[in-house]
Amino acid sequence: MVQEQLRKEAARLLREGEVDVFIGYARGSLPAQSTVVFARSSEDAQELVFDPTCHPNLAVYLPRFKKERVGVVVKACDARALVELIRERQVDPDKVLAIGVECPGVIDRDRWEEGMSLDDGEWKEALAVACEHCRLPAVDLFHCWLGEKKVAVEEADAQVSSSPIDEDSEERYRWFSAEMEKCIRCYACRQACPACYCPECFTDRSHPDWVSPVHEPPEAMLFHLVRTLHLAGRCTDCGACARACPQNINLLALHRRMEAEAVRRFGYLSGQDPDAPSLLGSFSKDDSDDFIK
Amino acid sequence: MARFLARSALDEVLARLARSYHLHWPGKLRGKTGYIPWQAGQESMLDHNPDATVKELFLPRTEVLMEFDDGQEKTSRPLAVFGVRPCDARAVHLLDRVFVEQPPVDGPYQERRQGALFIGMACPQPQMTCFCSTVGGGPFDTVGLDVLLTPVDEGWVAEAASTAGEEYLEQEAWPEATKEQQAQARAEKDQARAVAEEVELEGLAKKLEASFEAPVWERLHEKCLGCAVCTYYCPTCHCFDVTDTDKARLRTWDSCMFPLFTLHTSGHNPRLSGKERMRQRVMHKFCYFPLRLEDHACVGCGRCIELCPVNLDIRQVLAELGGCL
Repeated sequence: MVQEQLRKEAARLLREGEVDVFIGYARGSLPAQSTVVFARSSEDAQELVFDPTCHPNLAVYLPRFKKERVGVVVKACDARALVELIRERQVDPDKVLAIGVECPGVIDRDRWEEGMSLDDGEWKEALAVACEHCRLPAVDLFHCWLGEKKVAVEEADAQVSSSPIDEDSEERYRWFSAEMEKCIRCYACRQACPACYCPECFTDRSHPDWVSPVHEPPEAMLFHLVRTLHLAGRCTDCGACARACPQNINLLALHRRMEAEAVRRFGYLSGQDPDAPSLLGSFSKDDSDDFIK
Repeated sequence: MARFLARSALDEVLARLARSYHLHWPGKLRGKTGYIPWQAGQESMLDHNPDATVKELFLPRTEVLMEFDDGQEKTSRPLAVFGVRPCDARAVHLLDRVFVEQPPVDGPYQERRQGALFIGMACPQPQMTCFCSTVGGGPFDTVGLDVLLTPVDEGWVAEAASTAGEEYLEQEAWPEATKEQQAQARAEKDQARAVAEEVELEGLAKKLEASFEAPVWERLHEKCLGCAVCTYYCPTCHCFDVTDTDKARLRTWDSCMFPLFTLHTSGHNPRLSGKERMRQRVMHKFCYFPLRLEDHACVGCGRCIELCPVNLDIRQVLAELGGCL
């Protein structure tokens, strides 16, 4: 069983000093909710669990560890985020041991109903949106892989969920405004996102104050649009932002749209190979330029 | 005297309240639920403790503190909240301690609070995340309430919890609750479980005061992502920012979980990492507030537990900090 193998291997890594800390999931205090554990001994490793409640993307914690050697359990989506962190020199691949796990998809707690069983397929009713489009990173960067390595790879173009983001501009603006009305600017999306590692976000600047602290939709729009642009070619569609959002904002529609643009215009798919050049950091004479008028 | 408010009379009662008050009650708000202005014909959501807290009515996310005089006289009716849960009412009572019960009195807050009427809804079925009894409240607690309603067949048994509540019930003159209705209400109250007593808070404030530099903080914050879900959804968190624009001076909600909250003009930040920021949040609620105002700045509503993206459960934090030792 994946969970047993995971505990055993994490305990071994800690005991034999191959890693200083192992980041994984542990049983949470609520149904359908896991929590995060930073195991530092082989005893701590016995707390590790892996099941569909393990929804946060643990790659988000990796840039915090500059000196220690870190073990981490990664689902396919977390691994794609790790690829980006390595590419962007936020994580030293020599200091990270990633244990890949076969993931059946994770639960979105907003879709979950009390009493849904984790053992049979019942929980799939609450499957997170991002999990409908799972794909593995192409490069094998794992220390080891537990379970089968069988993940459907979807055409990235097909990944734009049907949302009014593709409608005519008026309908699209109505939809976008309604989504932004919900935002309370708690920044849970940014904090849960492995690609949002800036030590100082533009929203945290007061000189100049790019975003006003006033709680109004235009400010939320500015934040989300800038975040989406900053994630162009970097978002790996893990959906951690959407699951962290307490207001159920459809953030994936924004990010998937951006991802689809990268694929359509530049044939670029993020999270595949840490040695490949980044989308924004590379240039080719053949790049599409039909949007330049 | 306990009175009986029949479910069938609810619409009329609310309409009457709305004539004298700016009436709010639980309803759909920004895709979730919160306290919204009452309008005739709205769907009742009285069985539900709203996601957004009642503090928003008294401490709005954004408010104008000063602006250029436009010469127009401003008049407004006092606020009334129908169906507020005991935890949220207790939270406003705690906010009162901060904003009006010690100098300097906060004008804009006091203005909203003045004459506000709280008609509370008892909470016979607390959620898994609730721990109001641990922090001095309870599902039938009346602190901060004017009237407490307890659900019974066909309506609610209403009891006054303050002079204003007595006056309101006098004026409404609902029928006296029958013996059976009163017995049902009592039974609801008796069977309501005390919520999450496993965390012992006695003496915790003193212990925390002595443990500012304790190594436990290094580990406690580790999984915290540093977002503001817990503070923005907290009914007692009240930290704010003040900004001047070219038209007005604004007050907006702020969060101690953000680095900008403590950033000095010099560039120095005394709360440099998540450790210091989370310590501040816990200390404010369970050390500084209790030592100064003799109450925990937490009402056990459980919203922070329900919504934390990584399940950083404040009950476990307190237990680990020695609350249960």
